[in-house]
This record gives sequence, structure tokens and C-alpha cells, in this order.
Amino acid sequence: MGEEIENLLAKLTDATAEAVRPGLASDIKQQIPPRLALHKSGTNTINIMVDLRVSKFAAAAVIIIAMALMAHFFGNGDFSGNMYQDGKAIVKHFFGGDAKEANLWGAASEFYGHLSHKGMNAVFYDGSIGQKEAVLIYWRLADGNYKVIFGDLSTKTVNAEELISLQSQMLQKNRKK
Amino acid sequence: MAQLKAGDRTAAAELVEMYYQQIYRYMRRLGHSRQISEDLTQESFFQAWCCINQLRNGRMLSSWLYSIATNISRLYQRRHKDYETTELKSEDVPDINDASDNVSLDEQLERLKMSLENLPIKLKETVVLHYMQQLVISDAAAAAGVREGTFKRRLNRALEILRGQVMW
Repeated sequence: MGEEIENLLAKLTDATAEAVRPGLASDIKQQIPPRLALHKSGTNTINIMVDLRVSKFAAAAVIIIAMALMAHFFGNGDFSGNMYQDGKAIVKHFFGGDAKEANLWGAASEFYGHLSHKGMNAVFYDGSIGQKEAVLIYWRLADGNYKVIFGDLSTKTVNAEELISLQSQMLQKNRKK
Repeated sequence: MAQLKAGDRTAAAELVEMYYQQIYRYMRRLGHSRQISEDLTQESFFQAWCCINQLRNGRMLSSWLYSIATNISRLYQRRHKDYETTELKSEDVPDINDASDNVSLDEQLERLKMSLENLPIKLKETVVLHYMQQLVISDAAAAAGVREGTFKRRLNRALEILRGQVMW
């Protein structure tokens, strides 16, 4: 009759335990963020699936409603140009309006991830959290200017020279520290 | 777990060391290619860092990580509708018993491998999680995102199919 199916599965397990590329662990470790983000739950698809254990239809409904709200907020999904007029309002709206410094890093990094995902080529200085006049995130606008969100979540549109000046000021302050 | 939830990077690195091989092999046994399995393993850990606050006290680390990996795998398969599973490699078939028995065992293993590859994905996940990744039923059910009863029903159904196809 041959082997029981459970025994065969055990043998197949041994037979398929292939060697793992040695560098894989270090590749993964390099992706560990400097500070593990403590995101609010339910802010992305995976969280919804993992956290709520909802069926795929319920999950789809949640995602569609979330997308509709996003479209309403951002205006037809146009992510270029003037959409991010007020970075402070966006970040606060996105993350519940009460972003404390303790979880601001997570919120800012997720917002940066969102910008990157949309191809905005943003730059994120995680050391600027809470620092007034220090650049937290900036990205290039369609007209060649840059939208800057500062460490205190205020926002400003600057040209390239002003941006360089802001960055120089940051460097000088950091040296003094 | 407390260190991990507190954002300790050393604990995160230890988590990688403990589980990266398991997650990679899980992806491989679900039928992903080597390269895709590496990518999905990395994505699983990346998602784990993002969802670290969802790690509840009392919940097994392994089932939490496997549940993320399972969702990552499912999402990948949904995004790639023309997805085809790749053949599980079993180059090192155990060398046991005499030659005639080995032929029979090899054939059975080959049939089992093919049958497993052709199982519906939810049934395949149950077999791989419980028998190949060796998670206990409660952890495996949590990893699959279903109740234990549902998991056992799927497992019985999968074994029934495999027996029918392999044990003739």
C-alpha cells in the first residue's frame, strides 16, 4: 500500500528544505527602519486583512470606501502640483489630527512612503521631527519649485535656491549641536 | 516580544535570524519561484516592521509572522492572475530502505508533489502550514486567518484529495 500520506508529507518536507541564500538575512536586516514604526492599525490593506480577519468581500468594501474618501479629499486622484498645498493639514487629516511627537515619526514616514509610492521622489529627514524651521520632507512640484514640510508640520513652497539655503541652515544647526 | 514591540532593532534582527529561512521555505512550498520567494520574504518582514503594534501579547510570534507572509503571498497571487506555481525542488530524496522500495517511494513523493502543487491555494496553505512548516493547528489556523474548525475541515479535505491521488 505504501507510506501513509502524513509520512510522505514529512519526507517531502525534508526533500524540499532547500538551502537559503546566505545573504538574504542581511538583506532583510538592512530594511529594518532606524525606529520601528508604531503605525495606527488599519492604515493599509495588509493591516486591514491581518487585523480584522475580514472576508475578502468585506475587505474590498473597506478598501473601496477608503479610496472613495481619499478621492474626495485629494480631488480625483490628481497627485501633482497644487494638491499638497497644506502639508500640515494633510498629515493631520491622514493620521487622525492629533499626531503627537511620539508617533509623529511613524506618521511622517508613512506619508513619505505614500509620496514615494506615487512617484513624487520625496526626501525625508527623520532627524527633523519636532524641529521648527528644519526640513522634514520635501518633494519637487511640476513647476520646478519644491513643497517643504517642516519639522513642526508647517509647510512652504520654495524654489531650488531657497531649498538649498534651508538645507544649509539645517547643517549649520546640526554642527552647532 | 516586549523588546520588539518597544521598537528594539536588535530584537528585530533576532526575529529575522529566527524566521527568515522558515518564511522563505514557506513561500517556496506555496509554489513561488526562488526569486519571488526571496522578494516575498523580504516584503513579509518589511510589513512586520510596519505592523509591529499589532503584535498582541500572548500571540505566538510565529503565527503572527506566518499570517503576514500568508497575506503577502495571497496578495501576490491576486495581483498576478496568470500566476503559475513553480515546481518544488526535491533533489535530495531521502536515501532509505532498499532500491526497490526507493523507486516506489520516489514515485509516491513525485505524485504527492504534483498533487500538492495542483491543490486549490487555501487547501495547499493548510497542508504546508501544518505538515511542512510544522505549526500546531491553532497557530496554523491563525496564520491562515481562519478558525480552527475551518482549518481542520480544509486540512481533512486536502488530505482526502492527496490520498486519492497518491495512494492508488
